[in-house]
Order: sequence, then C-alpha cells, then structure tokens
Amino acid sequence: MLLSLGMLMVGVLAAYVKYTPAGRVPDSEMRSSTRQISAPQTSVNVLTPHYVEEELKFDKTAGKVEPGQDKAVYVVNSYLAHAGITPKDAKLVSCTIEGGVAKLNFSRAFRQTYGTEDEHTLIEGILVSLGQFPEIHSAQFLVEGKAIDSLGNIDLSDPQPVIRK
Amino acid sequence: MTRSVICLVPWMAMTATVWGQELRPATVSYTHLGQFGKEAVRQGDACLAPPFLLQSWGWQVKILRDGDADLEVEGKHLRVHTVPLSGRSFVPLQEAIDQLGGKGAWQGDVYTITGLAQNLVFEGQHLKLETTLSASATIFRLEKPSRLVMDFKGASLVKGLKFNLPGEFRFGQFQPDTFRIVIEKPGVERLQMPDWKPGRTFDLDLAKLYENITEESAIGDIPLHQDKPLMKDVTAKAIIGPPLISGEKDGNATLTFSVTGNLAGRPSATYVDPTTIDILIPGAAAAPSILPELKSTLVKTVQFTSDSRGSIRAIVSLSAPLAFELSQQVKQIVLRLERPAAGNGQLDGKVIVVDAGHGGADTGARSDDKTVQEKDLTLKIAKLIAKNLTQEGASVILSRSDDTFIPLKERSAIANRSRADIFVSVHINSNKLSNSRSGSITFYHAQQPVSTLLAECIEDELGKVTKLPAIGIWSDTRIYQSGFAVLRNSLMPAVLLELGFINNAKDLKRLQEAEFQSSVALAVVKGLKVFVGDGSKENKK
Repeated sequence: MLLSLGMLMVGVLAAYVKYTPAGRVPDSEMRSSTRQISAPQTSVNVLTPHYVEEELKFDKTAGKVEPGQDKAVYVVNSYLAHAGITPKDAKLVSCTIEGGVAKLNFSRAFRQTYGTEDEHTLIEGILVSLGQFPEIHSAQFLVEGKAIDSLGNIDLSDPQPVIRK
Repeated sequence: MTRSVICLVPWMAMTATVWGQELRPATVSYTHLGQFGKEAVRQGDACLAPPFLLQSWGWQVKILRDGDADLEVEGKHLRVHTVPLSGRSFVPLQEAIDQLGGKGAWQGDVYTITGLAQNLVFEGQHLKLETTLSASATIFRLEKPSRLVMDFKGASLVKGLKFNLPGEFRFGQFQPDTFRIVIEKPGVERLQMPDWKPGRTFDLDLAKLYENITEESAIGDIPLHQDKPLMKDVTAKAIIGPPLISGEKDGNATLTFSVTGNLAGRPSATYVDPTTIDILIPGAAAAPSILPELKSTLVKTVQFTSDSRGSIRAIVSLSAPLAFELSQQVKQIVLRLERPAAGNGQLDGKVIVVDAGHGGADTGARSDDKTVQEKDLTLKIAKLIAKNLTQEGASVILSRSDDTFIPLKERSAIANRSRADIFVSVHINSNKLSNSRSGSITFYHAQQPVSTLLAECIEDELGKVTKLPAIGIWSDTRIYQSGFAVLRNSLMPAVLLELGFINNAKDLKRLQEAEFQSSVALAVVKGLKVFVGDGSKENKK
C-alpha cells in the first residue's frame, strides 16, 4: 500500500519534471555586461583596400557617423562596400560589445566562403576597421545571431583580436 | 519523507522546484582544464556541484557527518557546507571559490571558474605573475610591430585593479577564462621562450629585452623565409668562417658558419629547389676563399657569392631534399638539416589524405559570372591526385568524394585519426581587388620546417606544368596571424595548394582545361615522390 503510494508520487513528480519548462534566468542576473555602442564621436576612419603587388594596403578616409548610428556598424559596412567582395545585401546588422568582445552580427548573405586572398582582404580589413576603437579588443563573427566558424580557411570560431594600425 | 521520494528521481534530470527555487543542469568550466559536461546544477545564482566533479579537477573532497565538506585544493584546506539534493551532498561552488580567492561567473548555463591575477609586477628585469588558482600559459610572438603575447587560461583580472607596469606592457581579459599580457617592444624576439607548466606563478626573464644589445651577441630564432632582411647598417662588415658540419646521423646534420664582427641584419634562408638552400647574410664583407672538404653525405657543396648590396649568399647543395631551420647564435649562424620522417624513399605504403577544398553549400571562390565554383574544381583535381597516388601504391583517403560540406576541423581530424603520413589540401585562389594576380602558391603552416620542404617539393613541380606563374611557397600566417585551420590542426606534414586565381581570365580558362587538371595531379604526385625520396619512376624514364 505504502509502496504503491510511493510509486504514484514518483509518477506525478516525473510528469511534473517532464512538462514543466526550465526556468529562464532574468537578464539582470547575467553577469556579463552587454551594451550597445552609442556614437557621440562623429568622425571615424573608413578604410578602402587595395593591393600593391602581393601586399594588402588600406587607404584611410574620414567618415561621419550620424547621431543614433552605431560607429562599428558604420565602419564595417563602409569597408564591405569599398572592398566589393561580399554580395550587395551582405551587411553588418548590429554590433554589441561584451567584455571587449564585439559580437558582429551579419545578415544571411554574408554567410558564404571566399577564395584565400579575398578572405584575407575581408577579415583583415574588418579587424583593422574595428582596431580604431579602444573599447573593442576582439571580434566574434556571427550570421543571424549564430557564431560562424569560417569564411574559407581561417578558423573564426573564437573571437579574433582586432588589429591596431 | 519528501527527501526519500526525491532520491528516487535521477538528479541529472531535475528541473523541479525544490526549496522554492528552480534547479537545472549546468556546465562548469574550471580554470585551464575547461568544460565538464552537465554535471552541476544551477539554483538561482548558485552553482552546486557533486563531489566527483570536484575530484575530477584534482580537489580532495571529504563529506563530514555534520553535512559539511572538507576540501583540499592546491595545498589549501577549506571547509564549506553542502546542499543535499536527491540524497547526495552537493558543494556550493561560490563558497569554496571565495575562500580560494578565485572568481565564478555565469555565462548562460556555463559557470566559469578562474583564478585571479593577484600580483603582476616588473622588477629586477623580471615580469612576475601570480594567480590564485592554477592557470596554463601559451606564449607566442607577433611581428610588425614586435610583440610577445602571453595568454593565461584559467586566470582573470579583477575589474579596476591597477598594476604598475612600464608603457610597453598591456594586459586585459582576452576571453572570460583567459588573461592576456602583451609586451610591445622591438627586441622581444631575443627573449628566451619560457617552458611554463600550469601553475600559480609565472616568471619571465626580460633582461635581454633591455640590454643595449649588439647584433653580434643577438640570439634568437630566425623566421623562415623572411623576404626582406632587416637592413640596419649596410656599411657593417662581418667575416664569415668556413662551414663546419656536425652531428650527421640518420639524415640529420648541423652546418655552422662562424661570424666575426657585426652583421647588418639577420640572415635568412629560402629554398631554390628542394635540394638547394640559399642563405642570405646581410652586410658580410668576406667569405672563406678556400673551403675545406665537407665530410658529409648530406651536404654536397657550399658556395659563397657576394651581391651588389654588400651581402653574402651561401648556396648549400644537398644530396637529398631536407627540411631546415636557420638560427643566429652568438658569433655563429647555424643551419639545422632534417630528413622528413616520411623520407624512407617510398610512396608505396604511405597514407595520404587528399582534401578537396570546400563542398556542399560552402562553394569557395566563384568566377565573376558565378558559373565556375572552387568546390567543383578542387574535387575534380583531388580525385585525379588520388587516382595517381593509388597507382603508386599509396593508401589515399579523400576527405570528400562528392559535393558534401565537411567542417574545417573535421578535415584535419580525418588525417589525424587515420595517422596519415601526409596531408594535401587542394584550393583555388581569388583576389577581386587585383585582376593581375595569377599563378600558384603552396602554403605551409608557419615554423614547420618539414611542411615547408613538402610545399617546396610540390610547388617546384607545379611550376613546371601549370604554364602559369609559380608564385612560390608561403607561410599561412601571411594570410592571417593564426594561419589556416587545416594546416595548423594536422599533426603530419601538411600543405594547402592554391592552383590559380579564379577571378583572373587567363587562370580561369587554364583551371578548367582537362590537360591542366591532369598535369597538376601528376605534378603533385611527382612532388610527393621527391619529398619521400622516391626516385624509382624517375629512373625508368
């Protein structure tokens, strides 16, 4: 009798376990700080890549970030437009910084692979573009919110250190 | 009573409300040891871990009768209370970590435990770091500008804590579990790389960085294939002594040149072909005019020539393809020669992984009109290479034999699992910014002498058949600081071939020709035969 009551209780508890959704941690409990870059700074460097024989070089021009526009998104999208390697609708949608790591969230069209020297132009240019912002130490590449591991040959699964030039 | 029922429920699956707060499985990432499955439980902001998990990190755990736990961690004794869950005692980690002076933080359902960098000082020309829990260090150099980067996995920085260091030192939290120190100062290449074991104290001798050092006494490894030797003073003139051979055994030997006086820069060395090494010695005035006979079966001759810029070249001619490492030491230049482990003279019986780049949704580079895709060309050529290698008696593993996507990490994992002797990855290049780029490049991973030799053997043969420029052999770090994933992760000699530029009209036409594809495949096999020292077919011709 006692045994069957015990069995019943186990059954009820098991059902409770199975059908109760796991609780979510409120965002306020997450320890890592997430913040959007606000853009008080209006003047930034915008890069244009070119090759001198085998060497990748960058020309710098001044770009203006409109109020309310994210400066990291602005410099990366300007770079993509100048490089002309990615499809036209491949854009950096957002950039959030967590502990110095810039999470670069690109649109779906960015997700493809490239030939080696184009991959070099693309990744180095993005990391040099972001290197002008002292609050960004490294960059994680994401497409539609999901981390990508590569654009060809280079392992991008971890955040990549920005290049200060 | 409640407790006896709960003890029947597997604790791993517990998401029920017990004592009013949600419980759910959590993963712990412990210092440099990394992540351990979903063995722990999250309750609010607390992370509760079963004793066996703590023991897997090397902690000694004793559950006392009163429900407390006695812990011994890295020589420290501590006592914490435990939480009973489904009849087992769980340890609230934060309580233990606080006593140890470490840090625990949630990222989603992963609880990351790190030691704190509690003491970072520069004194007596030593950089010293102390952490509260064991960390592991990786250390590497970067060039342009000269930097030494030290990553301490399992350590973190207390926010706002200041360390008083000279301006050439920078430090920060690189990743949630990795503390990074960077020294940016010319001369870091002179530092002796320490061999640090995981621990709580790290000591780096920086005396060499601050010495007012002359070239004569400079010690250090020299990057392979440095294209432009750093010219300091072209008027400096050193005298180079005759080459001496030592330690010749089993295909290995060391060739040493004495240096009297100051060189104008660092010597560098490149392959002319797989059996000829060209050493450039900047700012050397005189080379030996009379050469003693070299008692060596590996080194045939060493010839000196002077060039117009006041440098001396030593051309080293070998009897077989050998890997090399060049280093500059006190008053001497040392060329270490090494026969590859695969160099037993036979391709027959070797296990070779042929990796067709890209595949599936991963198209790789595409021609301007998008009709030609890198993934299709690489598969065709990889299959031809595989066919030819099989005919030579090698066991070939194709990383893919159809149009499928294979992740980068899996490609090298295939080679490592099969204990392959050689890894060859086939790719097509693209440079949309420069339509004049044309020809082949063979990549090796930085500072891997045997892979460098393999690259030279193949590129040398490619140059004979492609009818396109043979650009040469490149370190993968010329493309990106970490190199290419497939080369870095492969445990055997590994190369990545870029056979031409898909954006260049001439290369594109050539890449699609059946004659190009079959001769490239033959050239790769020929290069591999040179690498292993297999001259059998050569003799028959």
